[in-house]
Amino acid sequence: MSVKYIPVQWNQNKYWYDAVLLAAVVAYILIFIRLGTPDADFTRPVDGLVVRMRAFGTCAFLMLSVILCIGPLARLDQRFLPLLYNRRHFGVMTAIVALTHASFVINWYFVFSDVPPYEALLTSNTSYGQVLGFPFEAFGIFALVVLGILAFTSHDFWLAFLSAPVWKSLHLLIYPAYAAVIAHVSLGYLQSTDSPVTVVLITIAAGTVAILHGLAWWYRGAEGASVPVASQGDWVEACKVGDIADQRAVIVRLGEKNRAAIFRDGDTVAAISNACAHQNGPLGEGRILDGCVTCPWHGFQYRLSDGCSPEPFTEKVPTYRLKLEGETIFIDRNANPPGTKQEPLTVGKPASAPESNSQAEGATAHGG
Amino acid sequence: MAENLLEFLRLYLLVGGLVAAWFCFYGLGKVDGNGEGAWVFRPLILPGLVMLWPLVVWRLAQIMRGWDEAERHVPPRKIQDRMGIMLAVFIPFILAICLSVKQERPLDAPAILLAPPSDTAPETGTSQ
Repeated sequence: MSVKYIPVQWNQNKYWYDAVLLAAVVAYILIFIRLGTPDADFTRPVDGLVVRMRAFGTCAFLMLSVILCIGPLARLDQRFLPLLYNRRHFGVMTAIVALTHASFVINWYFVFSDVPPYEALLTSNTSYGQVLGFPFEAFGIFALVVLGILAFTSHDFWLAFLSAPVWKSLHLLIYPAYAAVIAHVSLGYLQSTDSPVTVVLITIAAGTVAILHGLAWWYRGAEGASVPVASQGDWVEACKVGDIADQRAVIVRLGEKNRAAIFRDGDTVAAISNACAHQNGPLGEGRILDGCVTCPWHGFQYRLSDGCSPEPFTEKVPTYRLKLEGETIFIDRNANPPGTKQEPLTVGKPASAPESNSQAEGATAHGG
Repeated sequence: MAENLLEFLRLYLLVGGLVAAWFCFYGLGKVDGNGEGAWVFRPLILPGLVMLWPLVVWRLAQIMRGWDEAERHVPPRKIQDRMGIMLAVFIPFILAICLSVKQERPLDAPAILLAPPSDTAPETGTSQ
C-alpha cells in the first residue's frame, strides 16, 4: 500500500514463504497421485482422473484448514505471527488449487452431458430436500466463488479503496466458505468412502479449526475484559505511567468501537489509534522500532508524534490528546483526524530497561 | 431455472466488464493517488472489479459523497468473533449429521458393460 502500486510486493521473506508453500503443495499432490491409481482407466471405480481430482480437492481443503488455523494461533501465541505475514499469498494459492479441482470435476462428470456443462452441474441433482444424496456440489460452488472473490481482492489496492473495515468484512466470507467446504466434503466424499483413515484425517483437520476458533473466541473475551474501559466524559482515565513498558503500549477501549494505544518512548508517552491503516492490525500489540510504532502483522510503521508513516509512505492513523495528573494518564476520547500532530507528554525516565521482544523482529516496514 | 441463472450471470459479468473498464481507465486515478500512472498492476484487479462491481459502485458513491476517514480505523471486531464461534459450532454439527446418516451400500463395485438398445445397435456390439 502507498507509493505507486506494483503487481506483487515481494521481498526475501515472502520469497521463502511462497517457495516453501509451493513445494509443499507440489509434494502433496505428487505423493497423493502416486499412492492412488493414476494409471487406472475408466473401467475402475476410481480412475486416474478421479485420483487427480481428489488430490487437488483434499489439498485445497487442507490448505484452507491451515489458513483458518493461522489467525487463532497468532491470537493465542505470538510466535505464529510470521505465518500471518503472507497469508494472502497462501489464500491465492488455495484458490488456484481449488479451481484446478473444480475443472477436473467439470471436465469429467459434466462435459459429456446433453446440456452445457455448467447447466448440467446445476441441474443434474436437485434433491435439496434430503441429507443423503444432497447436491453437495452447490456448497463447493459457493466456496469456490468466495475463494475467487478473496483471491481477486487480495491486492493492497482493495484495502486502500474499500478501507480496511469493509475489506475485512468482505474477507470474513472465508468463514461461511469453510463451513460450505465442510458440508461439501461431508455430504460428498465422506458419503462414498469406506476408509476410516480418510474420515479420521478430515475430522482432525476440521476439528482443529473448530477447537482453535473456540479457544480464540474465549481468549478474545478474556483479553477484551482485561483492556481497561475508559470512563464517561471527554477526558477519561486511561492508565498509570508505570503501567506502560518502554517502547510498548497499553491499549484502552474508548466506547464500543474505538481503541487507542498509549505508547511509551523513553521519557515521553503519546497515543494513536490501535487500528493499523493497512489491515486494522493491533498497533498496541506491536512496539517501537527505529523510532516508529510498528504493526505486529505486516510491519507498517507510524510516527508517534503525528500518526503518519515515514516518507515516502502515506498511511495515517488518528492521534489522541493526553494529559498527566500525578502518575495518572488521561486521554481525550475524541480522536484527532488521522495524521494530526500531537505533542507527546513528558513523563520522566522509565524505571527499567527496555524488554526484549521477538514478535516484530524480521518484520519489514510496509511489507503487506 | 438453471438456464435463467446462467443468463443472469452472463449479464451481471457483462455489466461488470463495462464498469471495470471504466474504472481501470478513468475512475481509479481519481479515487486513489497511488494508482495514478501505475498501470502494470491493473490487470490483477480487473477480475475483482468485474465480480464485485456493485460493491465498487457503492464505494465510489460513498467516496464521492465525502466519507469520514476515521471510519478506516474501526475494525469489525465483534462480527469476526461471532463468525469464528459460529464456525466452531457448525463444524462438529455438520460432521456429526453427515457421518450419522452415512449410506450403507457396496462400494467399489466393478463397472458393468451395458448393452445398447436392441432396435438401434448391431447384434454383437456393446458400449460403456
